[in-house]
Amino acid sequence: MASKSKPKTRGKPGFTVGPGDAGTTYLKDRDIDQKGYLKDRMAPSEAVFPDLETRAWIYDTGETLFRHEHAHKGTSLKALKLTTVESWRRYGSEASYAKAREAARKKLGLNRQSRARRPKLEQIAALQQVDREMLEMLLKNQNPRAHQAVIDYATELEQQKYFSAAKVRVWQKLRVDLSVPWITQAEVAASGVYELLLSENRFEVPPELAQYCFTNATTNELKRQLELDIVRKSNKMIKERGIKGLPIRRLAEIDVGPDEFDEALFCSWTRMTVHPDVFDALNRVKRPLYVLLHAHALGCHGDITREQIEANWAAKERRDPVTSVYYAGRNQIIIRTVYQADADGELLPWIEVSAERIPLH
Amino acid sequence: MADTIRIYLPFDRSVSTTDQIAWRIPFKVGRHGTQDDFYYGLKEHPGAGTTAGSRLSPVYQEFMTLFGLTGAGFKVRGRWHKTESGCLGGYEIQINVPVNTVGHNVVMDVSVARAVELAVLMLKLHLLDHVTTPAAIDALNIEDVEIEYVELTDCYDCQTREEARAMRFAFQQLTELKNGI
Repeated sequence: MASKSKPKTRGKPGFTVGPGDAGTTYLKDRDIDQKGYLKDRMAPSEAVFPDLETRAWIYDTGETLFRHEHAHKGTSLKALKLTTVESWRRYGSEASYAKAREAARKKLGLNRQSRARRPKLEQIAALQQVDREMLEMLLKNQNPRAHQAVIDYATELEQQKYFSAAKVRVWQKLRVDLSVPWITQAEVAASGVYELLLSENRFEVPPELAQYCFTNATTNELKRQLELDIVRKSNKMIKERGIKGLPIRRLAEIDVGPDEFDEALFCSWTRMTVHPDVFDALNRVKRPLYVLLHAHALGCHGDITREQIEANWAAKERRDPVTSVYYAGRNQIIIRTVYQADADGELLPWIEVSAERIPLH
Repeated sequence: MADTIRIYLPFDRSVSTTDQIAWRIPFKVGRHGTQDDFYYGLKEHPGAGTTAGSRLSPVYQEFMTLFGLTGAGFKVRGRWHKTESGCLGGYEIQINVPVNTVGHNVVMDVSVARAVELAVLMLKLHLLDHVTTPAAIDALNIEDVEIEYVELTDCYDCQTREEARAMRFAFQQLTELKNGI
């Protein structure tokens, strides 16, 4: 007896809003919402550009960029373990961004690229009879769910199960999705969008535009300025109100931002390898790695003997390896600068960070 | 880039209701059912109306600008402590960092950590206009931030506008694959 239950209705996950080329395409999901769009040069902006040519330059560049936006909600961030600031700090690796990107790509189905051309006759003939007939319906722009073998089942659930099994078989053999119109999947496969979204050639702001955009160069300066303003305001408050018990604040005399290191000498924020155990150890004591890296770069080599300190000083002069050791709970964090020759033979510093458990005596 | 982010910045666990009252930590109490409700909704907290929730406290959920370079704003609101009645647990910040700092997000680099750092610093600077002591902002530690929502924008260089438009259309078809027949 056929089921009389009402089919569930729900909005389509993929939809586009806006006219023609100016539209924004959305893909809604409970964990990661995604968008694809082009930047509208007429959209209002709060930016202050030095002149119209610079503004035009930036917007001209923006118009040639296809923007894929993936919005990770709490569930996605928790599953990817990307809910803390430390988890997003690079430390010489793009792993966190790669994880987020991979999760979005999977939701988009980029790991399931269908074929662009019709299967050959002999490939279709190799399928089971019902699968073959359903595929032929799809290729003729008919709905394969209307095949007699499907509707012979009494309930909607049984029909769906049968159809799903056939869909899997056809996909495994021919990479054709029985649940999507053939023309659409073929056009998408031929469009180059898979190759584009799977490529690692993402746009990077060119150096000549960096000062007008959100880049490391501009944000380093902004961060520094904010910290200074906070220090000044705090000190003013302490003095004016006569607050007792709080010291007057000072920013470090030595700038220790990443761009202030003399990379030729000792430390690099990009040439770095960090063993995963390091983050486990530091997370337990809630200490970010960059604090230890700063200390190492400044010459505070941690919990080592006087002899080791003197040996480190001498090693620095010779460009020999230098090692710092810091305690983090039951672990030692070992930071080591070694020198490696680049393609031109120049010795450049490379940072290796590892963790070792302190044995119980 | 991280376009819009939403983070929760909790107070240090050692901070009590008494501290918050003394420091005049700002937040806004709204009527139940209005847009200005707190995250947990209005309760009959002893704090509301008599302590830090006093009508005399600064109104929160307001917009802030940075350095006057941009006229953009961002949203901040308090969340009640999970267990201690009348105590503010921390602040929720929703912000589009590129727009609030350089004024646009047309072309940009990617850095979630830097976006969070700037958001927290901007909040702290704003709080200093309200609180009675810098100890109040010392109780907010960036390493305690819980990131709850992140928009990452990957820009692909298509060389020409026409090619970019073609890719946008192809992306549209790609998402329609998810709709099925």
